[in-house]
Amino acid sequence: MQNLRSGYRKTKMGINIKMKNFILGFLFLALLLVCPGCSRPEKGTDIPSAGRQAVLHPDFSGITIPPNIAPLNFFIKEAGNDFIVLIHSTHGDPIRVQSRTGSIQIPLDSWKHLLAENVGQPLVVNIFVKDQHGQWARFDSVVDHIASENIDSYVVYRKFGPLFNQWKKMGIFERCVENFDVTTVMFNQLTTYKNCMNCHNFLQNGTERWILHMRFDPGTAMLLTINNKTTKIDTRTKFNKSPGGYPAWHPSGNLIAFSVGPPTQYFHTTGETRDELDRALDIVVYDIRTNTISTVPQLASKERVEVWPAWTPDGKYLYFCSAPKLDTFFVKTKTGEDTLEYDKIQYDLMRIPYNDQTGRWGNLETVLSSKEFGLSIMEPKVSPDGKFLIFTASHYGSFPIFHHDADLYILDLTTGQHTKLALNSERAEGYHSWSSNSRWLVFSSKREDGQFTRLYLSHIDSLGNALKPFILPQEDPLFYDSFLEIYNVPEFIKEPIRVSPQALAKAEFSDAVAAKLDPQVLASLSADKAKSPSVVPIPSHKKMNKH
Amino acid sequence: MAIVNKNCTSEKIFIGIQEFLVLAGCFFYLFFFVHPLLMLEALPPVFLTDANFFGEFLKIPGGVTDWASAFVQQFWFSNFLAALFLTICFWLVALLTKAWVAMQIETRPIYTLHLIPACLLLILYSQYYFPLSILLALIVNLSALNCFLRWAPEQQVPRAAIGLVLSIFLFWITGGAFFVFVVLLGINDLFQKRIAHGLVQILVMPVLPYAASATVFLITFKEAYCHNLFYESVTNFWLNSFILPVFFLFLLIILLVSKISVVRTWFKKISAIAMVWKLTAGFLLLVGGTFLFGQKSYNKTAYILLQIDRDVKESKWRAVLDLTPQWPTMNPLFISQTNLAFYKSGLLLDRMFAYPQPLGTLGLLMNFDWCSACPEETGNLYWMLGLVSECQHWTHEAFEQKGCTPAILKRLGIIYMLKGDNEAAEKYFLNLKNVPFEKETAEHLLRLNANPSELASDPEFSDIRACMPVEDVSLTGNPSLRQLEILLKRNPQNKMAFEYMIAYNLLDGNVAAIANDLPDFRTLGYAQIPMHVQEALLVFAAQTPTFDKNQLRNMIQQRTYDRFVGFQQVMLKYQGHKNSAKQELYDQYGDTYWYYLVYAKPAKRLPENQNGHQH
Repeated sequence: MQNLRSGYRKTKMGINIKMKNFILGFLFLALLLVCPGCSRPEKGTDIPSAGRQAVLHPDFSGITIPPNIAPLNFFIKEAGNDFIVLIHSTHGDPIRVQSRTGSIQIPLDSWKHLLAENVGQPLVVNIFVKDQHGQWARFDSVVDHIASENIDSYVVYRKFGPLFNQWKKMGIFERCVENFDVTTVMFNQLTTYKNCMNCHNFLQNGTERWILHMRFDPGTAMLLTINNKTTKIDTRTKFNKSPGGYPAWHPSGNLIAFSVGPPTQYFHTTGETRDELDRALDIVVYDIRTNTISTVPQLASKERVEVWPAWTPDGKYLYFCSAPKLDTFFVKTKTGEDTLEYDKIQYDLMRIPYNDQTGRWGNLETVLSSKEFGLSIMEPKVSPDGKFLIFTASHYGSFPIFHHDADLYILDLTTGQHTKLALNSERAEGYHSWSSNSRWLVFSSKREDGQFTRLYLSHIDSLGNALKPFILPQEDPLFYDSFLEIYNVPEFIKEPIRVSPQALAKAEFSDAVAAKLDPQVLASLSADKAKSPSVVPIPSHKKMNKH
Repeated sequence: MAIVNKNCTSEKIFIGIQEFLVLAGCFFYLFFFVHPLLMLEALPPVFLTDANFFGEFLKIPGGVTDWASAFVQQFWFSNFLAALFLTICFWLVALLTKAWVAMQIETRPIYTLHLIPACLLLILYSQYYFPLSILLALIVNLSALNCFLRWAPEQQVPRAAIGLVLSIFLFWITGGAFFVFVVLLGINDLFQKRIAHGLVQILVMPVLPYAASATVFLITFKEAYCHNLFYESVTNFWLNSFILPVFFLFLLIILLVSKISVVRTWFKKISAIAMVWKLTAGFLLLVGGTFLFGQKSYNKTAYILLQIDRDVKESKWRAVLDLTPQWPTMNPLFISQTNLAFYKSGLLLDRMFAYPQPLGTLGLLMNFDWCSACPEETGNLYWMLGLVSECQHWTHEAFEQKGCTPAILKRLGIIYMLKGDNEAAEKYFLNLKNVPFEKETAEHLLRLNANPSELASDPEFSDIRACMPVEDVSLTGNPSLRQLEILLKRNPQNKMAFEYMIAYNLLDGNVAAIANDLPDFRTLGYAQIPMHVQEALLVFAAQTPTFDKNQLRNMIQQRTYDRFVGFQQVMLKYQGHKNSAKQELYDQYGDTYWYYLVYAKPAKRLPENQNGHQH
């Protein structure tokens, strides 16, 4: 009553209404003055055009994107103190993002709606920048295309420092490409820090059956997960003293092909310092049902090294790469020294038929000879629809990521024609993985700086043409600029991994089940092959020459 | 009343004097003998100012304390500041211990007890490899304990709830060190008849690290329990790893025992002794104990190793050579650092055999295993030599071992910049910019990186560019003469590579190669043939009848001739019995190449590391 009499009402906080209105009015005015975001220059018709597209970082212009991809956050590399971005397509409300720094972070929900409503449509990005004099400029629209085919929702990769021999932190991570969530699959902090982990591989882009390799302390073994139950298996046998690497699942889910044998690292005095040599590698097949390692002379030749196995989706062929044994590349110089002509080591693309019913292998076929092709062939991967095979090729060797000239090529398995994919850069492209619908490719590339491997996505059309690739988007568009770790071995999966890192660590600390060696292997291979399986030493006095 | 007050004041004064003396002793010991900046060499703190870096520390229990200790160490500009900081921390621990003890017993028979942890900390931090985060975690937990005991409600339920939340929080920010809080509080409450809370603390909280590492945090159980509580890497004396938590447990037992009436009576008897005597006795026991325990656990090898490392980084070559006679063990790193100091002092080929060279060429260019063990030092050596690719290799290894320290970020950025990988270089410089006090350096390097013409004219890098190999050669296995040959092929004026090659041949006993390289001394502008080369030439001349000795006329000094003759005469005196002649030869010619050849040269270099590995 007293308040009413005096003409004032009080709020719960004791501030009278008149005062409250005054404060709100003041704040509103202040907001108008301070916040330039309240202006909408994009609606004006007299904004001058910059006459070009704005420079975006990362470059997301002119690309084809999956309809379920995470927002392509980017940074506008133009001078200015206010930035407005309008993203629109044929249907639905446009997305408006404003930034004072040029860092454009697109709201996830709006982005999802826009893409879902516009599958198969163009995606237009309009950019407005206000310079230091307060003048707005309109840049030419960036037009992307929303593909009709979804991408597999997850990419599993290894992340660690750009290491030479030693490492501290290393882990396998699962990134949901539909948003920015990253889940740890396994981290060596959970074991001993000395653990190296690699060669994660999934049966047909699923997580029902998958493997992960752990090396060194607390135990070198394969972690085989079937229906979320993990078993530690030591794939080393009397035949292969090294554990299996570069795995490939047979579509039946019962067999895994590996290459076995340790590589050797060596160093260059110029350019990329690191390089690798395969001293001796063979291909073996692990049968999950019988816990047995076996091989045949065609896959473990005394005269050649065999590496990078890859099954066709019907399981009738095993593709792999093969080169003559290292010994054959040693030559005597005029001074009588043994010199290794490492840059002459080139791998052919081979295949061998396999009958899953009888377990019999057929005769070797050379699919693409390095001699004819002129380059060394590595990392073959057959598309899940069985139509194409993409491989990496470089001047020599079998470890492409250390070679700037490494590029991705596609082989049409129907016609036998091969071509260099348009997605390549002047720097190294390497390890790649097909999405389950054969329309998307994830691959690693050093195109950004020549040193740090990043993951790129590219659309592959039904004719095998690759479209302009784009980097795996991050929430912070400047994330990659100062990130000192590398990504490698990307593998698409359709669903998340359901085994926890702790469960994998527990399996890693458990006793390994030793794989058995197929008795026929010893019988079919020559005795000396079985006794001294693989290692050709490179004594210090032997030089390594480039020719 | 006045007498009581007077006693109380004098007691405070005496205790204050005692504390001051102990802490001043800690400070001076740290400042004059320990040189706490060497801790930064032992465990280089990695710290970046960006949020992502901080975010990583939130993912592990104790990470916040690790982050805080790395942050604090950024301000350790000098030994004085570092010693002062540590002394203040020791004082805080003493203060918090005193406050806690005061809450436990009514009478204080012993006035020195709270200073024991300060002295234990002094011993621990005199070993260089003890992480600062353990000290900070202890302070946080003791502070929390004191605050809780002083202000927590007496009612069981709220007390237990606050205790639970606080324990979880302490586990998250300090890691396993939260056991100091949990155990001391739990037992305290049990004896204060707060059974529920005491049991929660004692029985439930120890499960927390297990549960946390099994669910939330990606760390091992061991790390969850031990991080910031124990430090197992202290190898000098095993007890050091556990001494701090053990002390607090011991103290707790004493305090609990003091509740027994018999003991209380005994304590009262001690209380009756004059305070001056008690303080004096306590002080003497403390100092004596610290001295004895310190003697047992002090790591002089670590001191010399770290001091040499620091001196090399600061180019204090004379200091390195002064330290080397104190070598406790023969270690390829010590010897290679000494040889580097010899080179940098212009004495490599004149004085290198004045110091023992028992490891031969391994003491000049370490083998693969030793390079792997000390990659930063190896990287530095190759940087000075100009073999940038090898420097890149080993600095990357150092990055994996030590993390992104400013020195490593700078070195890697410069390497990539010089190799023309400017985008990669930028990444390292951008990270360097996030290191406190490195912004200016980073911005300068970023500017150079963006302007190749400015880089080309930069005098700091022109020398190294002149030495960088331009021809691709592949290297495998142990570092060897080959690395030096590559450098000399690129730039015959590379004096360091030349002297290292000569030194390598000397250590290898390859005197013929040295004779072949004689003309290069003239080309490189040597006014006189270095002493050890003269000695080697005399050996070569003696071993090679076809060698025209007239060639040596202007190269060998008379004194060297005379000493060579003298050396041979001693040998003759003992009729060629090497063992019999050893002592006399050592006394007179222990600093010569001849003595090295006869007595010190190792048989062969270690076998090659094939360097096999898999990614």
